[in-house]
Amino acid sequence: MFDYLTFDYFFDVNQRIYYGYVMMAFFIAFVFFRKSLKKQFSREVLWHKSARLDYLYFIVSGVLKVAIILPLLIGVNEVTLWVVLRLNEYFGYISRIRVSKEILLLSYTLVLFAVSDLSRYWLHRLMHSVPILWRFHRVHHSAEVLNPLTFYRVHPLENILFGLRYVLVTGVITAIYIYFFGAGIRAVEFLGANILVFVFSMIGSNLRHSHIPLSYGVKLEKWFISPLQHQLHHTKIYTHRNFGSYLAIWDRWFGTLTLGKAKSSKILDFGLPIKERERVTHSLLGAFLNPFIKGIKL
Amino acid sequence: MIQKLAKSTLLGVVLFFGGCGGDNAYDGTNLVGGNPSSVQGDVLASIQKNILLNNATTLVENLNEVQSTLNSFEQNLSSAEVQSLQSDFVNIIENWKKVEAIYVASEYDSALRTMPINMDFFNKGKNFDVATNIDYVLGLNGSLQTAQVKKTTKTVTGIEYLLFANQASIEEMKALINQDSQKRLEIMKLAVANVYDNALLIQAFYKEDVKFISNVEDTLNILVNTLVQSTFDLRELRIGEAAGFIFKTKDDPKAERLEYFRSKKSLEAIKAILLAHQEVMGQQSFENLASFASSNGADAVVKKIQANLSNALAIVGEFSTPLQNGITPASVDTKIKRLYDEITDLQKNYFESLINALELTPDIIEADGD
Repeated sequence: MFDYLTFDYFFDVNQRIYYGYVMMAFFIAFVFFRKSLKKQFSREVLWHKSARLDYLYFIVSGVLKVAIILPLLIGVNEVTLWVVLRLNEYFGYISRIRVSKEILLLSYTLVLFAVSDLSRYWLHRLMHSVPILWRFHRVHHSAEVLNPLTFYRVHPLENILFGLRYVLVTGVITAIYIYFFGAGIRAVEFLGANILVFVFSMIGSNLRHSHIPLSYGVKLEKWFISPLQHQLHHTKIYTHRNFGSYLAIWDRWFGTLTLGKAKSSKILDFGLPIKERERVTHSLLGAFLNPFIKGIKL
Repeated sequence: MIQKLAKSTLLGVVLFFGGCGGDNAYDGTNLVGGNPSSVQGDVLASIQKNILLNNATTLVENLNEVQSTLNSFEQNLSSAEVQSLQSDFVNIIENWKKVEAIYVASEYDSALRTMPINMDFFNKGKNFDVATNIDYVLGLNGSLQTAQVKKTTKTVTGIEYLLFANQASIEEMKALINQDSQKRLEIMKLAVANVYDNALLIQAFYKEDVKFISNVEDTLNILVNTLVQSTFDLRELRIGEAAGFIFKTKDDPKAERLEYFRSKKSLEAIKAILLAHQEVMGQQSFENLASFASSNGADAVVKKIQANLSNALAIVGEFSTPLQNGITPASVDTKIKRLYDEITDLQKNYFESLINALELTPDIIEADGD
C-alpha cells in the first residue's frame, strides 16, 4: 500500500524530487536567484490552475504507475537475459575479456549514461515530431507555470514509452557488457543512484521545471543542458528545441540546440506553442483523455 | 560568479551530506542476489577449504599413488598391472576435471594463469598433436630423449595416450609398454611427475591463499564467471562439437572429437565436471555458493540450477556404454542431445543468477518524460 504513495519519491535517490536534490535546487536559487525564487513561491505561480493540476497529477499518476504501468513493462532482467542468450546463440560464446574492475565500472557507467541520454533525446524528439505522439506529449507542454512536479505531468502512455526505452537501453547495454566481460557489471553509484545522474540532479535538475533561469554559460551549454535551456523548451516559441536531458551534444549534433544565455533576458512564456494556442482548462480528466478524444479540452 | 557558485555548491553538498545518516551508506551489490552485508567470509572460506583445496589435495594424492606404483615396477608389466594403471588414470581425470571446472587460481596468481592449458591439451593445443610427438620419440633409436617430449609430458592428455594408445586392448597395451626397454613407461613417469608438480602448485595456492576470501564481491564474480565458462566448455567443446550440435560441426558428428576418445572416458570426465558444479551449487553438508545465494534471496534460481545438475547427472547415469558409442556419422544417441539441452539450460540459469544479482529494477525516473 505504501508503494502507492508518491510521498516516497522524496526519499528515493532515484527520483527527480529526492529531498537532497530539491534542497540543492532551493539552495542554488536562494543564493543566486532571490528575485526569481520569490516569483516561484508567489501565489500567482504556486496556486496557478496549471500548478494545481501538477500536484493532483503527481499523486494520481504515481498510483497509476505502480498499479498499471510498471506491471505492464517488461523487466530489465528479462531483456538482459534474452539479449545475452541471443548473443551467445548468434555470435557464439566468447571467453570473457579481462579488464580491470575500475575500467569496467567506469566505462559501463559512462556508456549507459550516454546511450541512455541519447535514447531519451530521440524519444523526446519523436514525441514532438510524430503527430500522434505529440498529442500525448502536449499534456506535459500544456503547463503554463513550472515547478519540480511538472516533471511528472506526463501522460501514462508516455510513461510507458519512456519506461520501455529505459528497459531496452539498459537491458541491451548490460547484456553486451556481460557477453564481453562476464559477471561484475555495475554502474558507479552514489547513495544508490548512478553517479552521473546524481551529479546532474544535484546541480539543478529540479530547476529545469521552475522559474529560476539558471544558465551554465555559452561554453558549457554546448555540452550540458542547463535548466534555462529546458525552460526555453517549455516556452511557446522554442517548444521544438533543446530536447536533451543532461547532455547538449545531441541537440548540437542534430541541429536542435538553443543556448540559454542569449535568450535569458526574454520573458519566459510557458505553454503550448503559439500555433496551437488553445484554451487549456488544466483538468485531470482532460489531461488523460484529450489525446484520445479531441472534443475533451486539455 | 562561477567561483561563487562553486563555493556555494560545495557548502551545500557538505551541509546536505552532513545530514545523511549511515542508512544511506552504499556498499555495492553482490553477485548472486541480496544484501552484501549478510555475506559471511566463512562461506568463501568453506568453498576454498571444502571444494577448491579438497579437490586439489585429492588430485595430488592420486598422482602420488600413481607415481609410487610406476616406480615400483621392476620388470615387465602384467595385464593386471596395465589394467590397474588405466583405472588409476580414471581417478586422475575425474579429480583433474573437478579442479579444472572451478579453477579460480588463475584470477589471483599470474604464475598459475596458464596451468589448465599446460595440463590439458584438449581444444587448447590443437596445433600440437600429443600422439605424434610421443610416437616420434618412441621411434627414435637409443636412449630416451626427454627434451623432445617436454610439452607432451606436462599434460593429462599425454598420460592418456601413453596408457591407452589409440584404444588399444589390454594385451596390446601391455606389449607396447613392455617393448623398447619400457621407454613408454619412462615417459609416463615423467608425465605423471610433471602433472604432480603442477597439482602441488595448485594445492599450495589454495592452501595458502588469502585473496579468495578477502574481497567477497570480486570472488563471487569470479566464481560465477568460472561456472559459466566451465558450463560453456562442457556443452560446446565436450559434447556439442563431437555430436555435431554446434555451428562449426553442424550435422557432422565425429566421436573422435571427444575429450577422452582414446581411453573412452569422456563420460567420466563430464560426470566429474557436473559433480564439481554440484559441490558449488548443490546441497552440501558445508556452506557453498548455493547456501549463500539461497539465504540472500536467490533461492528460486538456485533451485533451478540444482535441478539442472541433478537431471544432467541422471542422464549421465543412463549410459551403459562409453559416450562415443552413441556418436556415429549417421546418428547421435538421443541421450546426448538431452544432456546437451540440460547443460544449455544450466548455462541459461547461471546467466539468470548473474543478471538477477545486478539488481536492475525498473527505474521510475526513467519512465518519466522531461
